[in-house]
Amino acid sequence: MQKTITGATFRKMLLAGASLLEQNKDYVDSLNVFPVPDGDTGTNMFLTIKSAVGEVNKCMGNDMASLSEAFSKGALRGARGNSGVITSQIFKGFCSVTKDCKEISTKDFAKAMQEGAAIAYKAVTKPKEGTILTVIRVMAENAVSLAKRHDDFEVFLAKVCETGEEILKQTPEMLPVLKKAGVVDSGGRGILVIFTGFMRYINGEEDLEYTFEDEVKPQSVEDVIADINQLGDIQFGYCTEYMIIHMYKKTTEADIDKLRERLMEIGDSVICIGDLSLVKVHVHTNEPNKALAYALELGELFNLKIENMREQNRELKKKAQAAEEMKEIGMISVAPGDGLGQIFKELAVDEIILGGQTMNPSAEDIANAAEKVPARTIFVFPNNKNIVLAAEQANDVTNKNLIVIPTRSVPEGIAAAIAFNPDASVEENQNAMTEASRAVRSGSVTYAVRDTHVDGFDLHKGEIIGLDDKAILAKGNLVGETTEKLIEALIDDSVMNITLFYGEDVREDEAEELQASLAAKYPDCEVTIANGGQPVYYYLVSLE
Amino acid sequence: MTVDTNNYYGNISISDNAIRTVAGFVALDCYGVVDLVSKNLKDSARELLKKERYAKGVTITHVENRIFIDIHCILKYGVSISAVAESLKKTVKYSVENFTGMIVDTVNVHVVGVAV
Repeated sequence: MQKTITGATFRKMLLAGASLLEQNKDYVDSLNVFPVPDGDTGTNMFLTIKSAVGEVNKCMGNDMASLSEAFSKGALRGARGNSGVITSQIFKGFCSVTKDCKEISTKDFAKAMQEGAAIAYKAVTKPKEGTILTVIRVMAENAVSLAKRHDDFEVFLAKVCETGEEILKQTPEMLPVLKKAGVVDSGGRGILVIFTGFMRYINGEEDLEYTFEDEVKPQSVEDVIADINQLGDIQFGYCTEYMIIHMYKKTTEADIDKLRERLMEIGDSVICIGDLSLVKVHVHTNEPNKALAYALELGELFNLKIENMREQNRELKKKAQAAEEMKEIGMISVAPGDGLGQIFKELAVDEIILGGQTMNPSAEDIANAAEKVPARTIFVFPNNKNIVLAAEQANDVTNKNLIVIPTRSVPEGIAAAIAFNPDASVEENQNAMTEASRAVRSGSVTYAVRDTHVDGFDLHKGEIIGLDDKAILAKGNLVGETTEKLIEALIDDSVMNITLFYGEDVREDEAEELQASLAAKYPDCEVTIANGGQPVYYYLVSLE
Repeated sequence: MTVDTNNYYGNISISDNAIRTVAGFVALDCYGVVDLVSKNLKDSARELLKKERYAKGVTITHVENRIFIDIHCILKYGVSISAVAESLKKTVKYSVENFTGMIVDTVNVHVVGVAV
């Protein structure tokens, strides 16, 4: 049973509050429904309390006065964003009470909370219910009556946090925005996390794990689209934040009040707090220049930050739109050379990854390309047996659903892309593509890089060789001649189409010559040529 | 009662009396204002004794260092009351803010009578 909190305990208690918030800041961020970003609530609150705790850590003495002073100064200094500033004000009020105590009793604690709530309300020009303010106010009110009945901190803090949870659950009823998004207020959650941190420490829990009862589905932009569209236009476009330090000697506290009045004339969400040593200003306005000019009359500016909220909003809207236009099936393909990439593009492949025999893309490259495609399911054509594995690995890197069609060559990939039917289901497409890619017989023509003896051929460096996906089938000294030999080896009666993709080392007229000679040789087949632009391979041959 | 502020050099407190005198002086200067009159007899008697000519008919209250001024005045016959009251409010607010450096929240003008 702990009846009082001493300086040393107070110090550690603050630390515990901060560290619990750190662990949960992402969770608090996820509750943030307002798509006009002032930054993220959890992160902002954490940075605020982190700065406060940093100041406390620097503090040598363990007396309440200096600890309180350090904590409230640090919080004000580090305050970021709306929620951060309100947090800093809560602690400013809180500390203004604790600094006069030698040891804190539950009654002092309740009084401190009440003062914190009062100061926080004052800091905001138009206090809204259903926010962090409501949570701290109700907690403080309950704390006062609880303190009369409980003088041991274990029970007291536990009950205070309990009431906090209760009021937090009601916040969606007070703010329609929260209700629509199906979340509780993020700032309220944040402040409750801090107080829960205090409670955990007082109860002697070293292990500061905090789990939430109201498990929230992960929030993403897609989930709050409705709000973004209903948000309408932003009245004031610039979120302006700065601190005024080294005030001129003639500056009076009344001047700070006047500054607040003037800021309210040019904008809203005005927060203008502090004393002659430091003033923290936050305002949403269309005239940040004026906001700065007014402040310059008082002293020097410090830590300025001006953000264009309209632009941020536009970006969010864009993202939301992209999410809306999400299609069912997308395709990405690996292609050696721009020409082949172009061919794939024409076949409605969404993203092309340049790569091939000598430049295998990594799993990450593939995953990145998949991220760019606005589709739920994405078919991947590796078009090379060395890339199939990487493509399969990419599935683990991205959270999109990747289906790898194990195409071993570009012609197979093209056949698969042609087989794509946007109206068919994922499974039907997968089967059709796999089948189509199997039906293609492909070959390629390149040159030998060293003297060797393979597949019954004596090869010399620089000689032209023709191969299918496994073995060398033809060799020669001329590209055209070798290609013809290769086709001879590959062709059978079922072949109807011969397609040649000529590489970057082959001129168009050479390819046309070959086309003419092949057409004469195989009158039953249709011979087409296309510029593949691939390196290393003179020709890629597709027979089907 | 005083309004308080401070700066680098120390505290500044301005008494209601000082503010009242400024407000009264400025108000009398406004076109259309004939005289300032106290709300009730008790105040008039006291003001007579103190000989605070300019301070009569002006009451000052303040909440959290924001000044609220009430002016009881007699206007000249023939002027537009609303126009005079408007200019009176503006002038008093400006002068008092300029003089004290504090924020004047409200200036209420009570037209007690008309001098013909």
